[in-house]
Amino acid sequence: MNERLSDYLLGELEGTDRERFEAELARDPALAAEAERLRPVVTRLESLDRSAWELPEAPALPPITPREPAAAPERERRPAWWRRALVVRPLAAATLAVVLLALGVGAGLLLGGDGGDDGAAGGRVVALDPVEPLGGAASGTATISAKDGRATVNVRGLPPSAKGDFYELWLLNTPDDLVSLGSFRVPASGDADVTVPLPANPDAFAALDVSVEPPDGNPAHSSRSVLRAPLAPA
Amino acid sequence: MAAVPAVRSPSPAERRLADGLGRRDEAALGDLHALCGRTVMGFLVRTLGNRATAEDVFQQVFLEAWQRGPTYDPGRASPLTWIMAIARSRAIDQLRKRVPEPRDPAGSLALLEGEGRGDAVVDELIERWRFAHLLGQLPEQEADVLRRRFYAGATQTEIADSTGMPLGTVKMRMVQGLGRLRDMLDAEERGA
Repeated sequence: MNERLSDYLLGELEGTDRERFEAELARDPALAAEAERLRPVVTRLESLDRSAWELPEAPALPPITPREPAAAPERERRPAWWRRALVVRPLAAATLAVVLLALGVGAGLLLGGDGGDDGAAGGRVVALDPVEPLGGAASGTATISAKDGRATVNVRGLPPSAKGDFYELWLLNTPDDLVSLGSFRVPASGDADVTVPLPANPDAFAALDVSVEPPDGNPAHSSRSVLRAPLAPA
Repeated sequence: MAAVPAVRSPSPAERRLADGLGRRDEAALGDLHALCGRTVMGFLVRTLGNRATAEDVFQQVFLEAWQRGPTYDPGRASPLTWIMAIARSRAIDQLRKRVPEPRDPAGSLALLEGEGRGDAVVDELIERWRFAHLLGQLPEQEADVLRRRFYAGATQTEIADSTGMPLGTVKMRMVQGLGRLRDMLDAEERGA
């Protein structure tokens, strides 16, 4: 190895030493080629962010082991909402959402797919996996911040909302024990980012569920889930 | 003419990682985390300018890697290139949905001022962090002389004085380290 190569690349050769080395480079194509090969590396090292020299510790991986999925709600077995025993679901809010949707207002609970809100920094992140047969190649994540009382859900690859249909987010234990979190529509891109308030403690539920709902005025779960994430206790 | 997809020759370790991700083997995700986690986190902290937000996005990135694992093809991209592409997308998503607020201009990117330029800045950062990742793969002796020269700003003579290494050894390790970095860069860029 030519020791002066590093001196030259690092700018530590001056005056006649540098001239002599450059003459050597002119006579030795292999040495010149090696200098040219290494020069861009020196340039990149010189411009490297100082923080890149001290990479931070990586946070732990999020929990990914799937738990037993919560039972899918079966719409036909559900009692009408006005006859149901006491459940956690805020019936009035859900009913109001449907009314708003029917009126085409939708600005309250209906969340546009392109206008996401700020993420819930510091929350727990869970993966939303597709539920067959409707989930297809869809995926998503939800950041659940019990402290802030909200969840931010990012979904990708969902079929765009058909006319009148909408997607609904749920905290779910069983078909009779579930809470609606809000509704949203998915644009042509198939992607949507929504933030919804959490009216109940998410740790008390087995899953976060996304269903597709028809505009039939029925506030019950349609039994047509597309995405679901198991909710392990934080 | 249609672009021909880049084809690279993955290492046996990369093939094992891809096989594990394809089987949804949790250990494979752990390997990916061990290999690239610090680089991804460094990039996200620098890009988003906030550690808590970076941690949220970090988790989204690895969850997405878990979900998309079966589609990962090591013949098309190294694990680093693949996970950094996911990190890039999620970082840009996060920056675009962020509500503008007063912030330390040195602490985060003013990407909202121009989205096109913002993407370019993120791409530049991706390149820097990919390079930083390669630096972390160097043998310690070579990484040490490079760090002393390019991070601490010492000359080769000063490195020899402070470490007790012969000056010739410092120079040899410097050139070896630069050469190895160049080889790794070439290998990465063939598959990028």
